Amino acid sequence: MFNPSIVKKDFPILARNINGHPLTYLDNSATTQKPQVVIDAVSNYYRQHNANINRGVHLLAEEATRAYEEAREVVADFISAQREEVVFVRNTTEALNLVAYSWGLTNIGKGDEIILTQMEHHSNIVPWQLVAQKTGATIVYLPITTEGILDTSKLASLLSPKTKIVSLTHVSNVLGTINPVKQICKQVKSFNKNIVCVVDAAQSVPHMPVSVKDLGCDFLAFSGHKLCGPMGIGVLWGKRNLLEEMPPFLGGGDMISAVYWQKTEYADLPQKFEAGTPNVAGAVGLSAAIQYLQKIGLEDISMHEKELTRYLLEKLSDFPEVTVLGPSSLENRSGLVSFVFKNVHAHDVAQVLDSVGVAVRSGQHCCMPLHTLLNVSASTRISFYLYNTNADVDQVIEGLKKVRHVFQLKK
Amino acid sequence: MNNVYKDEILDHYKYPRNEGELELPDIEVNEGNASCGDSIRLQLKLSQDEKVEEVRYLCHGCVISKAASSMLTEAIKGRRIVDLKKLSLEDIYHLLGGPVSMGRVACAGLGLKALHKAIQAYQNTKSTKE
Repeated sequence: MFNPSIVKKDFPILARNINGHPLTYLDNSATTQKPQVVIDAVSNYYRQHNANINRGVHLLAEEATRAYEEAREVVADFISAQREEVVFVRNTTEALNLVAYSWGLTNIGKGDEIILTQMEHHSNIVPWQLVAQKTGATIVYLPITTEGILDTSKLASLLSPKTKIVSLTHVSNVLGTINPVKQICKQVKSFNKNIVCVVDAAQSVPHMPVSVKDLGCDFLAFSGHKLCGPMGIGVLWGKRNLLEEMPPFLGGGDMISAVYWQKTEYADLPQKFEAGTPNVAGAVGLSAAIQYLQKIGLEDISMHEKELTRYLLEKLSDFPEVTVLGPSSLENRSGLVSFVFKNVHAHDVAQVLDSVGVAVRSGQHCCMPLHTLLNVSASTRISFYLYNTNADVDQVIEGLKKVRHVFQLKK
Repeated sequence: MNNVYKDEILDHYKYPRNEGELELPDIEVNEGNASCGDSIRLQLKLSQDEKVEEVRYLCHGCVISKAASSMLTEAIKGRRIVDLKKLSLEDIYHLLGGPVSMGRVACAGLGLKALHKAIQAYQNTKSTKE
């Protein structure tokens, strides 16, 4: 097991002071900080190897192309996939839009049904609404229980001959719930193997070992910046046969094999889905981030976050004014905790926490329908990563005591 | 913005001025901030010469949005609708005793956004009547 206090030293930004306190960074579900190895990889790429990739004959172009494709290999290995099935995109949102526009608009028609869950991020709702509006399809939602766990017993009643796609999050970015994606994919596929299963893995891939083979899904999307990589690089993994049948999402350079005045022949996978100059430095940084995490061990990171969550939940139980959202059991809980502080708005909680150097997120976390369902106008979210320690939790608790103190005026 | 929770702001939060509902408002609007889930209902009653005679609001939100809305309703009472069109975020900051951090701009501006919407709604109905 790694020592988080030593790991912390790999991240230059964590040495910063915020409002006179050492930074306590607990907004990792929004984005993670970058270790020196990632910063160096990106910087080294620009200092030594930068060139546009693919067609260049000169040495730099060759080096840049190799670096980009090696990054793809690293990603493929990371999620147990084939390299041709790994498409580089900007982020999870773009990956989900790619599936919605390319697969969705081609295969979903009037009267068809799209199954989502009640705990989806806007990025796994809005693209499907756009598809539904264009095609006349309907979106149905798999409900959650009062504990914030998917009510999988309702899945059978939602599946029908009209179902074309099931798209769900692996880990809820609000509730922290880890969904039984493997079991759901299995149930969906045994109902009808042609129903496509899409997994939003933005909150899972950074925090636990994930294998696309094991999950049994058709598409999986995640972002680099949530796993210590740079912003602006993300991944869509898709099954080869589906990607081959799908029309391109964007057209342009790099995604073609031949262009004529009136028609185009597309490049092979994965280039078919990578129109235009890609984020090569981003891919290089992502690759460095993945290798960094692999060295530490995803299994251990997951266990470490679970311990922090246990410690935090225990400490929060001393605050009767705090209501934690999501599952009470740690078993199917990821390393994030959203809560409501009675009579104090999430923004005010977050602002007071900031005054003691603690960075957390407040608001609806891009899950407006879920917050409406929970009857909560906004929540405060603490989310862990490998560099967090029990001392970070203690600092949050100090901050929450200050929240109590500042707002004791409240009626 | 560590001194954002000044006594005056907390006072407006704790004892909001003009909170509530009017029975027969001339204008009523609902406004919200999607990112934080805050919402406000603003109601105005106008006099013959188009001055704000009565104002009430109901706000679900944070200290900043509630206090700013409370302060704003105090500030607009008795003032002419045409003059209120010119109110800006700067005026809100003035009421709050200073600007807020970037993440709280939408909170500070919620009541103002509702007021501008109300004025627009009033002028729209007026022009339809004419």
